[in-house]
Amino acid sequence: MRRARLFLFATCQIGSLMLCASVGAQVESSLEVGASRLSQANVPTGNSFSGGATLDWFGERGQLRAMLLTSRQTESRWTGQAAVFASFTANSPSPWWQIDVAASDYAQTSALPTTSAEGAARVRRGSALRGAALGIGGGASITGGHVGAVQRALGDGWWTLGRERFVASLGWTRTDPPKVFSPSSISYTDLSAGWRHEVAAISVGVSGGARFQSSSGPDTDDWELIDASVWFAPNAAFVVTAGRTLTDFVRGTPRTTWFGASIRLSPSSHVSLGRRPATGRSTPRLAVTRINAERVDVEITVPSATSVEVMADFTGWQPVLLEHAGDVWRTGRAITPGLHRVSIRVNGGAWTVPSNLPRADASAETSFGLVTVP
Amino acid sequence: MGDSATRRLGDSAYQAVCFGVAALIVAVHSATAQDSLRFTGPDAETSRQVAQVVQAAAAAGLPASQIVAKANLAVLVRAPGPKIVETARAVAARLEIARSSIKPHELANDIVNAEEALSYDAPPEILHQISLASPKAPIAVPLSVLAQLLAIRVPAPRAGQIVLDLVRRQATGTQMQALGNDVDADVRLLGVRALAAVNFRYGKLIPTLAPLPPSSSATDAGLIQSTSPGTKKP
Repeated sequence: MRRARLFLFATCQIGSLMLCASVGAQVESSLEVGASRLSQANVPTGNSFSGGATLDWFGERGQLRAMLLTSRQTESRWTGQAAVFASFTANSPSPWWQIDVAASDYAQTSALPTTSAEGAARVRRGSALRGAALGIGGGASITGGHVGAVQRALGDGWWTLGRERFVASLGWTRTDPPKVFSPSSISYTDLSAGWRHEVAAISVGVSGGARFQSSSGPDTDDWELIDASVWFAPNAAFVVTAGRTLTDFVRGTPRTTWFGASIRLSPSSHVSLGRRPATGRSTPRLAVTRINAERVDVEITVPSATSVEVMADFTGWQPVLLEHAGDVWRTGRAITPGLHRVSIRVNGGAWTVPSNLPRADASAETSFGLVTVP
Repeated sequence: MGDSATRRLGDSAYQAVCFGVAALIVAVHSATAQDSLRFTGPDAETSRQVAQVVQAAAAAGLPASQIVAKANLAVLVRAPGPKIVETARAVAARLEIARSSIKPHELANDIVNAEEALSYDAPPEILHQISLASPKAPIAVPLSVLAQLLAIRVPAPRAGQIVLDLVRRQATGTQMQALGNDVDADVRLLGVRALAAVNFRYGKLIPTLAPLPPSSSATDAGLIQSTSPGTKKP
């Protein structure tokens, strides 16, 4: 029954992401398999195999992450968690409000599963690079028929400095967990901070925090997490993680200490390692260079051509035959700075878009290259 | 005829020639301006309706040549007459929004590029912020790169934020130009998500740019709130 509910939850997530893909949003996914040394509350320390899948959806005004994690600790003991996190913001470069929703299902062999759903409204100030947010939220956590209310207040800040990203947060939580966790309601304050460094194919992150519990438990406790990933191929990364987390009374996950290594596979090439098709020699490339206030040089590099023509808004949409020196075909014209649409024709063939320019579809059959003239 | 009379006649002839040349320049300029507003559609009715839109825009002080340019593009791709008229009206409406969004910038080329960005669904607030971030220098190139990033499907808030930061960090036109082309290459040739590509390319560019002015993040939110609510799409 528990597995069935987890399966249903995961199916709903995949369904929602397929819907996202069908409306043209950007979707990114990864699959992770690995091994770890794991110590969980009420479970003897041991080795485990783990697997996970993550799907991210990025839209104009929101993003969504769905994840599925599972580990096999002994022959008869499994744990699994499925979670969806989504946020929606105002449509502006500096949105001032944000709505967050989260749903999670955690299950492990011989224990009651926990399902939670939460929502939060937040006020933001700043931009994607630096800013702060304050919000309040609430929800419910269900464990074995026991329904506990959840209330939260949270504030966080973020700052990007070159390749370094810093985050800090302060949150207050009050919940009524089932008796197996705590005999009465729990309230606590979490203070955390993190740093992430990303350069080319390497990403390193360190984060940690402290919990100040006001009732039903030790007064203070802390957690730490370190992770590093190295993309050794365009679609594969080696990932190492280690850390200690505290009991999440809302989502039902126990206190855990672990060290693990895994391989992450992604269908999309990593941006720093992807291999580009050999466009340099075989396909025409267009470059524009401003010579002075009036004159702009337009150069098209295409090997072994007998004629090259350009047609653009700056030619009044009239074909202009270019002069050449070797593989470089050139014309000089007075062109205003800014966006221009351009199309080229090689050896009297079809009009095409230069391979190195973004393209704009003018109709179902016709596209133009978008070139920025400096 | 004495020397002085000859000199006076020479001066008069010189003045007449100068006047003639000036008149010729004005006439040629006027004719060129008229040419840039001349549109010939696939049929008389389309030509008449587009000409009305162009005349109204020119009378309102908008760079009406942009309407003609886009109408000509529609003709080039063999769009039907009603579609060409619709395109002309949409461009005229966007030019009006563009002009009010980028005040105090009044250069026709800036307004034209703001219209291009709006045509890719750039929010007018972003244009307003870019305009205020560079109140004296032309903003055609940043607006052009914004249009490129939106064409590549970088989400508008992130595209706007990056272009705004590029302006504030005094990126050169060539650097902005390269950013748009590189992001496109990452997306199209590598299959990388547009957001990841623009973040990566912008991250690589940051070390070569000037630091952000300290007040920039505070003004981001303030500008949003102070943006005129009257600039809506028709």
